Amino acid sequence: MQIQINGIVKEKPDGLTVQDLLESEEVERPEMVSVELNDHILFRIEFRERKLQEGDRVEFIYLMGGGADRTAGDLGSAVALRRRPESKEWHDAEEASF
Amino acid sequence: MQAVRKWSLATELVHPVVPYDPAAGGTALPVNLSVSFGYDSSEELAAAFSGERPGYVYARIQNPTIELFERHFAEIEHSVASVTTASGMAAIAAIVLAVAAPGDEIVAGTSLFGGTFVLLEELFGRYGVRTRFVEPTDPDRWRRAITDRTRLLFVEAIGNPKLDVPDIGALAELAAVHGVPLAVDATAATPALIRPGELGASLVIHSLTKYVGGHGAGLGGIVVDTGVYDWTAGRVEIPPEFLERYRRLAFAAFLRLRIQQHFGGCLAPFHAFLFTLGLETLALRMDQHCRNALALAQTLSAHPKVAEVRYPGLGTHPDHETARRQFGDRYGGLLTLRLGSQERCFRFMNRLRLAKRLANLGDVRTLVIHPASTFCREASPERAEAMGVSEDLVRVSVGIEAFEDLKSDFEQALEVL
Repeated sequence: MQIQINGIVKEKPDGLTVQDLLESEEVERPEMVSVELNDHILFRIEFRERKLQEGDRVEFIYLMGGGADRTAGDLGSAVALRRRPESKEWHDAEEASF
Repeated sequence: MQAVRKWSLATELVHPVVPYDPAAGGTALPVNLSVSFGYDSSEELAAAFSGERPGYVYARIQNPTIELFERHFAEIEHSVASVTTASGMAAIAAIVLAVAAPGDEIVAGTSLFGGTFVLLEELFGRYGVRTRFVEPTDPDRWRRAITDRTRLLFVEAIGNPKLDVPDIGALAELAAVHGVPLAVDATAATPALIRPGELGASLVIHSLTKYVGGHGAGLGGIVVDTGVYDWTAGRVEIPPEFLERYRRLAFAAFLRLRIQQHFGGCLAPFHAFLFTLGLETLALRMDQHCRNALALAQTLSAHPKVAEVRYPGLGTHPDHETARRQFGDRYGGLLTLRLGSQERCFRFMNRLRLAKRLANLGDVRTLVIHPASTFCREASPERAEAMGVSEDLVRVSVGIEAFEDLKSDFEQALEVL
């Protein structure tokens, strides 16, 4: 069967559980990974029981160090400043920031 | 698809789904006090910083002890993620910082802890975030207070010290209709009485300092994302970089990797360890807190020197039916007494031998406090009334002592009136 893992389509054997997938993909720090399956976060207790199916989309997510990069910071700030065009104060802030 | 849960809370509390210490087989949470984490190469450190590879960088962002505790707590709440904070107040502040910008609004119940009221009205008010306060048990008042600028509904599962009990399911429905998250401060109820996520709440807050610890040692707080709210599609604007990278965990990631990282209100790893010790006995302790509180409320209701007893477990409490349904016929460890005047309250409290006069709740010991002269002293008379606070009110946080000893302590103290 074909499943999508972190955006990449891969061929995997039928009957694979989420736990099997973590092992076959040699996921780093598996005890700390969160798994999103088709837009829903799985509970840990589901890893060994949940069998994957053709077309499933799986994302491995960590809340450890990532998100600290400058690109993310700049994007976040720009969005926050742009979101209130009706407010005079925010226009001022935007002009001062850019 | 909802996972099939095999264990009851008492079992979940003592068997973390992610074992604390698989390498050595230890059952206690290893305390890692490291502030920062080294790598063999600069490239690896850079990869950990950018999130290309999983790894710890700096304890203000994440730490192995804290992460294990957060995973355990999320599972206990049957939720997708949790983020710890330095205190319960820091947990509330972190949520508001994450969801609201100047011009945005919050709708909150009137019967909040005094400190929460000051935080929302006075402090966030200074930064242009307005909170509209409504009667928490009337969903229609909430409906009328929601505007297109509302970014959060906030309520306490058991109002402190009013001890009113809002209908969490009704508020969750309202929140879903308007696309706003509902945050429930469940400190006074604990997961032993309610998992707000199962009733549709988006976020759950606990002051870990209270019942979760139970020992009164160490401050801490936690925000739980129940997984109910779709952060990609609601009114709350999470920066798109977080939505893209962390998807359904975007809020938890924003809280952990942006708000906590840069505002810095983090839980100390040693305190996380202390809270794991408390968590293990939470179900047992709550059984005893609830039993003692109900028995004390019944005893004091019949006492001629007590003008009024308020406890959700009494049939006379206006929200008794909601509490019975929501909490599974248990009602927590808080009750209040009215004794006629502040002077009478003080005389009674000063005479207590077992109960301690101090500003905390959820401790294993019975605690008493006079709200009007302590944590609600900054409230105006109108606000105090809405918070259920009068000059003659004593709040009791009923401990886990033998009931007969508590009964005798309260009865001998009432003799001075």
